[in-house]
Amino acid sequence: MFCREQVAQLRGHLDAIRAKGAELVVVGNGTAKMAAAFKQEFGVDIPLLVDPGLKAYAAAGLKRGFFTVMNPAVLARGAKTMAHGFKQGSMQGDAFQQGGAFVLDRGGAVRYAFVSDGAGHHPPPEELVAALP
Amino acid sequence: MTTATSDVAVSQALSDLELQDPDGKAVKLGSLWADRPVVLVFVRHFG
Repeated sequence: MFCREQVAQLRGHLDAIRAKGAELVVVGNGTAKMAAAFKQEFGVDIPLLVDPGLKAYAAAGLKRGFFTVMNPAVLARGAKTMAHGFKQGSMQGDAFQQGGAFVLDRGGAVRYAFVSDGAGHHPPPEELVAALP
Repeated sequence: MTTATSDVAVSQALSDLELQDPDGKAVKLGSLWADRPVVLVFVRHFG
């Protein structure tokens, strides 16, 4: 449920990101086939990449583990997300890998980094847009 | 949040990696920000 809500939020800021001459790239941890299915179902017009070996997640220092998925803060966020009408689709990929977000300059300098503590812990899209040059 | 030092390390480590697009084609991450800034979002899963 969390990732559908997150992608929906990001889509709402796509124009603002592109207005700054930047691009939004979403990385998921499933296979290319899963990304294709997700793209088709969701009608996502943003670049999607998959990292089935989780090598980019590891290189980015993102968290992985059971207690990042199940803790009281996550359960509370889940209740809130469901209240907003986002349901969990069938789980794809590695359930224990957490996410994060980075804003990189042209050339790759990191201007903003967000490492998720657990499911449903996302960077505010406004902060991502504001961090762009 | 990470420190300035590890930010450089993160950027260098990511730039050389190749991921796949939905067609299964390899994409070098560094090529994404070669000529424009990028918002790079890692989601937990598709679904």
